[in-house]
Amino acid sequence: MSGKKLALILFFIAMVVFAAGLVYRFSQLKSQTIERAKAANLIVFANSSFIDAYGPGLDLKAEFEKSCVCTVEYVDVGGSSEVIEKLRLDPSRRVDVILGLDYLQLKRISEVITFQKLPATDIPFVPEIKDRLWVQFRAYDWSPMGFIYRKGEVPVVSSLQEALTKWPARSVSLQDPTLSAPGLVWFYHFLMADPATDYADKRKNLPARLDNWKGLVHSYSPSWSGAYGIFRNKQAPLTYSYLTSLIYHWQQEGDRSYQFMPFAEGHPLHIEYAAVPETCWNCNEAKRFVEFLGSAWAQKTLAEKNFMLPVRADVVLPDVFKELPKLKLMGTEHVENFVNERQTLLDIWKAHR
Amino acid sequence: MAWFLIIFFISPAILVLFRVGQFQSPFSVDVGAVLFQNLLQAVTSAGVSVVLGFVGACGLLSISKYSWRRLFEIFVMLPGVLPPLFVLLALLNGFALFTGFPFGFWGVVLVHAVTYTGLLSVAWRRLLESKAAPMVELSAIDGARPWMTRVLVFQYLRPEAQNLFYLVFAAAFTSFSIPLIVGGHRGETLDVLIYRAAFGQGNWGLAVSLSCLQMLLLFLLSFFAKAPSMAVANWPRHLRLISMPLAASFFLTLNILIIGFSFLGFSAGLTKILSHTLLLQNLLLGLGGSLLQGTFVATFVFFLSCLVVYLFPSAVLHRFLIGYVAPSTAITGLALGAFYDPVGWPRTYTLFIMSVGFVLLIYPALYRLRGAASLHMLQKQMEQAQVLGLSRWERFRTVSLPQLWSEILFTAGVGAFWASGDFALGRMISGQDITLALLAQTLLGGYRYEVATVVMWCSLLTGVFLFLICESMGRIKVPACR
Repeated sequence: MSGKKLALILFFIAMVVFAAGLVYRFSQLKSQTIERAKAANLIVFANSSFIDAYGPGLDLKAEFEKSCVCTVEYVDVGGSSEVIEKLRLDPSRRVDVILGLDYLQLKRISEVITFQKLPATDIPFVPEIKDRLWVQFRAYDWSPMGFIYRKGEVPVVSSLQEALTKWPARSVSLQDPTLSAPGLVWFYHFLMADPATDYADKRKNLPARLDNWKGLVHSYSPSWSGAYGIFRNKQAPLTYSYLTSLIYHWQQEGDRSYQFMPFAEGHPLHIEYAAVPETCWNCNEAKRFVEFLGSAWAQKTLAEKNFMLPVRADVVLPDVFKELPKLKLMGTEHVENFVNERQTLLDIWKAHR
Repeated sequence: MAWFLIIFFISPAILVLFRVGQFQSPFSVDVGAVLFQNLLQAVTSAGVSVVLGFVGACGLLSISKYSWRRLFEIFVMLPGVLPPLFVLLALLNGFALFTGFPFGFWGVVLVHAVTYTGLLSVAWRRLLESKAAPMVELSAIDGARPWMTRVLVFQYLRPEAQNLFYLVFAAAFTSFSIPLIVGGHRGETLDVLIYRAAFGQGNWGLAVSLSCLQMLLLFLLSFFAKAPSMAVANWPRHLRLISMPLAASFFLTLNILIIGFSFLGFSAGLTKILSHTLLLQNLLLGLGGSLLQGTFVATFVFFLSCLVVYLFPSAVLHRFLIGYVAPSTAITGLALGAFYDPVGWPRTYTLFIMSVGFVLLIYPALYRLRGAASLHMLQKQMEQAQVLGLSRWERFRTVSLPQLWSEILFTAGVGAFWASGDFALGRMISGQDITLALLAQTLLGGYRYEVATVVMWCSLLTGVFLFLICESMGRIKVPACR
């Protein structure tokens, strides 16, 4: 028998043995898997930047496991929208804690999933978010959002209205508000930046303002990373991002050319919340984990590795955080209207983007 | 058996339909304008890619040394497996040196053309070698100029051109992120509508109905694809008459630029990885995952192709595979994700499910790319074997498998190659970064562009490695004796 024939026969045998082995193990494991999952794990849904090698997830896991007879298992399920839809399609999916819930999507997720009430906490919350706290959702980090630019590439303006006249055409790399949470925050910012004080007027002016604005838009990306990638590659001189994005550039890259443009009308907040679904399996540990996220140690870790601001007022942060510009923040007076009308407003955006 | 296979392919759509339990008319939203724009973009992208692919193939013919040509082919196919964002950023960087990128309709067409031209060049080159030599020789005898000969050959191979056209058309029609980012205000496609309906509104009834509409349209349009002509000869010497060294140089330069631009930050990324133990560990774990996923995909594609060859000639299966385009990644991912929870399962099983999903997505495209034409060439032989009284198994073992062995393994290799770059479906099924592509996507999402570049290149090299293994195995001769 020639070597080639032998190789061929061995290849076939290997494939058949491999497939048979896999089927056998699969059938064995199917019965074991539920028990395995029940055993001790704390299943935490989180986004990828939280879990990755640079993110805070691994340090938090290691620290929490010291005081818990469990193993924290992170599952990357994407953003708030993906979490909502996965649980809508498969309500029996095992999850103990959901992280990264977005402030503007809390209502939507509450319509799909019922959450447990979290125990009262003595966390000294920062004043900026005190009016945005709920019993079922625990805020664990936050940041104002706005426009990031590189020095010298674009005129600095002090309001969105002024931007309309001074920024060059196709200069802003944005996120699609129907697909991305930061995109939705941008859209909220845009609506609120209308000088009209009455919400009904803001809404009425929206189509015309969008028509004026669209010339400035470089592109709408499906995700924050897409929009930021275009900005980072210098294809667009501006993007919409977190104030705390500056920390990354200043601290990690030593690049001070990245700056944030403070606006007179104020800035919306992106707040990330943790919650424990009613269907949790390891509920006590889940609530302890949420509480742990609010601890001073966890808050410092989150600030330094997730590049967000702590929700605790008593956390000592590196000096670079103190150099961030002080911003006027938008109030919460129209949030409920925006959330209730989200779909209608997004339809207007789609027609006038 | 053919029907079982068909049900297997459409199972994601059926699963989601059952899970959703509702259906909303796709015409309840403004689908007409989107459809028109989407069709126009896909037709233009496919037309440009097919013509450029032909020119690229003429360029490939000018490289006579086998090993060089193989290397060149892998090189030109790379944009087809790089994540869309990588190709896009490389193009944006390139354009920034000279002028602004043409955002809008032509921007989308450009990115699609750059992505698919290399793949089509390789497909065209193989078609030219197996079918065009006599036509080239006749043209030369008649004194036709090279450019006239090329036009004649292109016309002669119109059925194949139509098939390749449909292949790119289907890919461009279901494109998601490119039209969204580059298309400007006219970047809406059916896939974007589906994603918006599902994840933006939670309207699964609408998402599934739009997905069905998309599948139906593509299936109907597939009827324009023609039965390929028979292979006549393999006389590569004659093909030198239509070879275009200039085209080879052009495509080589273009790909060097694209790949070069996507290498920006590579060395910085490598330094960061080497100084970060955990990242290095994740990289190695991801490497193992990518190798295993690629092996799974190659194995599935191999067995699936064997099954399709075994069932040949099956008109219904052929028609289905020519016309079927899997539902969008979102639908397929959710179908599998809703029935498979990775929690508590070893990584191997998650990789296994990811691979099944990926094969469901890509196999019809692989069939259109290579399988359909190869099988068609065996039509007459199979009919004769049937008349001689050979059973289906005997026909498979003695006639079709020996002749299609290398094709099947080439297809398996392409499948593994594609799988190495998949992060869209993988992300929906796996909750962790178990492959290099998933790791790269995570890093992209967390500012780490330089590190992501290194990981993505490791991922692509993994794909190339698996492709070369499959292709080498394809060169083993299968005994045809009974």
